[in-house]
Amino acid sequence: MSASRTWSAWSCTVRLTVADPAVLGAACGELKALMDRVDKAAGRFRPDSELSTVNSRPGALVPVSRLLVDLVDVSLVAASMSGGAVDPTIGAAVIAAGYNDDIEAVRRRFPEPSTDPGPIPGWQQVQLNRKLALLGVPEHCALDLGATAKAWTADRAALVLSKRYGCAVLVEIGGDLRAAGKPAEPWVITVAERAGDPGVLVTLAHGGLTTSTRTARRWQTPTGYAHHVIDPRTGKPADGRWRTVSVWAPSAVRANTFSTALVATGEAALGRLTLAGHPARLVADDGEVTELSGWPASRKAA
Amino acid sequence: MVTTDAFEESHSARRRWLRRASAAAVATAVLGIGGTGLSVAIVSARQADSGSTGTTATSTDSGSGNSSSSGSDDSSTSSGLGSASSGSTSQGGSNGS
Repeated sequence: MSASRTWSAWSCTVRLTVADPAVLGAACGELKALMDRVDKAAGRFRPDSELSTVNSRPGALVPVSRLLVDLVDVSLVAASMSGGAVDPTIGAAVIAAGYNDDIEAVRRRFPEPSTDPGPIPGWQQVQLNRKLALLGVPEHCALDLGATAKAWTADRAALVLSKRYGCAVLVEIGGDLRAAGKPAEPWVITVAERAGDPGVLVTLAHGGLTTSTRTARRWQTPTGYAHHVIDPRTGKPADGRWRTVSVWAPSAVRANTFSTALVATGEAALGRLTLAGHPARLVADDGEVTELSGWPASRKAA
Repeated sequence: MVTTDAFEESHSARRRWLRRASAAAVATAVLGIGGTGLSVAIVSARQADSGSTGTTATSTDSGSGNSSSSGSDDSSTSSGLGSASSGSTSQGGSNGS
């Protein structure tokens, strides 16, 4: 018998499920505390976050916490693994597209035209001294860790909580899932393009399962809808072949790297996914579904 | 009268010179070995430092930090996905975000 609790944070749904109901309250408290720490370190919309301080001082090496070092490190790993398709230096491009506030505030305001983002500096320009915990970005560069921070937090929380409480744990943060521990039965998961949409059922025994889409976090502009998945090659919201991609991998960070890369750069990222051999479900612009590398025969969710 | 004073005087001077020369040689050897060891230690330390304090992120650097910093257990490569049986109740959702 398992127990779960759901709440909202970071403009998305957070759900924690544990196999031992007795530890649910304590485990929820720990997950919330970790998310608070991550927000204080890497929150893009918090002027008092460490990331905002670094972004406001281009060209300087700024002392940062070990937590932010880890978060930036993971974002650079994702950039390397994806061949630059998931790039943390797209911060200015996301703002230029209009995503410069909490998503609900962006949706409520009068539509604003997008501005020219300029060239993406590239993840290789980030200066990270892991030993001394120093972080620097070049001029005209802003870091955005949104692509990897949620997945990292899901990974970290699931591993820590399952070890601490000795039970299976499922952490879900805005579409990024991580299962840790050994559940008596694999978790049953609905995979959908957006919360509330019709989805398909699969089981998840371990590892990470993430879904990236350009259909959920979007807003109106004078020329149509914009969304938050940036193609680093153009600096503009991606318009590749697939609108939604779900991927399984041993960790949520790895799964999210591939799912985001496929939405951001389309077929350019397909080779890396095929080489990695991770199961994936791709939904094209016209709704056509492609299942790769052993994605299980899906059953439609009720 | 034949004396050996001059001979003994030059002999003792030669022995003093030899003692001083051998002492100088030993001191030179000790200082040389010590200095070389110190130099090797400094160079080794500098090489170790330069390998671990590079500030520019490279793919190699960032790759090395993956498992330690993300805390992710990537060791299991077998897929954790499976087919859900009919009548299963969903316990979680991977919704696009």
